Amino acid sequence: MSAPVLSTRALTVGYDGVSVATLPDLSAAAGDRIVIGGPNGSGKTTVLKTLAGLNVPVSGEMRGPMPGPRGAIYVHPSPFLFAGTGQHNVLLGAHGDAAETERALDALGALPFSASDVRTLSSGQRQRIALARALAARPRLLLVDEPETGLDAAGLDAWSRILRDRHDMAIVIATHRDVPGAARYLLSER
Amino acid sequence: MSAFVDALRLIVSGDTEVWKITAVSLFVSGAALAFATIAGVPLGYALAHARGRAARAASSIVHTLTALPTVVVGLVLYFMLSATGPLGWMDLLYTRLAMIVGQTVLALPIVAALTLVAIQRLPPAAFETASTLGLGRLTRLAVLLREGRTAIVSALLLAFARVFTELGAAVILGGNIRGETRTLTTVIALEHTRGDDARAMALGLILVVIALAVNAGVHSRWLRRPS
Repeated sequence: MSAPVLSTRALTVGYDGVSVATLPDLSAAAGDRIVIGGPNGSGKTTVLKTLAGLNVPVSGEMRGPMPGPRGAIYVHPSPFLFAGTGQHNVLLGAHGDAAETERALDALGALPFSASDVRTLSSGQRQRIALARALAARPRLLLVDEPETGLDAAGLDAWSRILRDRHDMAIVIATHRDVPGAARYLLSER
Repeated sequence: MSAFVDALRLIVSGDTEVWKITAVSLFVSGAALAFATIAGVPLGYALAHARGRAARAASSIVHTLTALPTVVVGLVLYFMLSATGPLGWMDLLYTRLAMIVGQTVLALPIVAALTLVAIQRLPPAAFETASTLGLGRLTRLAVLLREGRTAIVSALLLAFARVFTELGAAVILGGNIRGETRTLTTVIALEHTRGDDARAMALGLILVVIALAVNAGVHSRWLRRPS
């Protein structure tokens, strides 16, 4: 069994010292899939941002990679794309690696619209670009907040293939859907 | 009305001195804006990211300095640059460079304060995305400034308007020397004092037309609403 990419113990997350949710202890290695579930407002986004190293935990222990390439990458439910084309965004994720950019765009089926200005893209296309940008960073830990938002059938297929085939990374997903083979952790309503 | 007609006549007559004064005005204000941009944009960006009491105090000071009276800036720099002042050895008084320094002092707080606001107003997801992607300092700077570009360009436009139309610092630091430090505003004041209102009006018209043209050009290129 490979070493865990992420492990937590008695982790409480929140903002400015105010707790929002307490996460059951978890451990994830490369290839593992973890679903964080729970009702609206239960703190799924806060958990993911904390696991991604973007928020400071309120209490508890957490071991995981730092944000950045080959580290932890977080994808928002309504992704923020920087001004420019989709390709420009994915190139930012790949830190200038053109081949990695192409691979990531291809994996999400986003090549046909990658040269378009992001302002002209639909929400599903934006989601695909954001996922490609995250993949291009080749993270060890990918944290995706409601990835299905806006994705059409082709987009969902591409996302399912990534969940199935990318054994080089642990993926934590906040979603209300079932993900085959994923461990599921439920947050309770606040 | 006759002054206005005389003004138009003077403009179309191709008076070389009028155009030289216009060129000096554009050079001095353009250079001041360039220096204020080089220093003010990174300063505003840094202040937008800074935390703590010192950062809040610095932001407050920068915002306050946007209201500096031009004549006060002119006077303070005059005493610093005059022969007996601490910077008198530089021999800058009554030169275009002294005027550029004065106008830079006026423009810099505007550029820095409005860049600060432009960056602070970006959605939190922009900062989080830059962080999660592990963007380097320069890349992060470039993408976040690009996100705030409309507000930053607007800040530069405002700073240009401030220095291009100011009189206090220009006349005190430049001395209104013919062919050297005369700008549109200093000559307008001079000609009005002399009673040559046609010439004052002509130069005023040129000032307004240039200000409008710069605004219109920048608006059409940078500040247009997306269709």
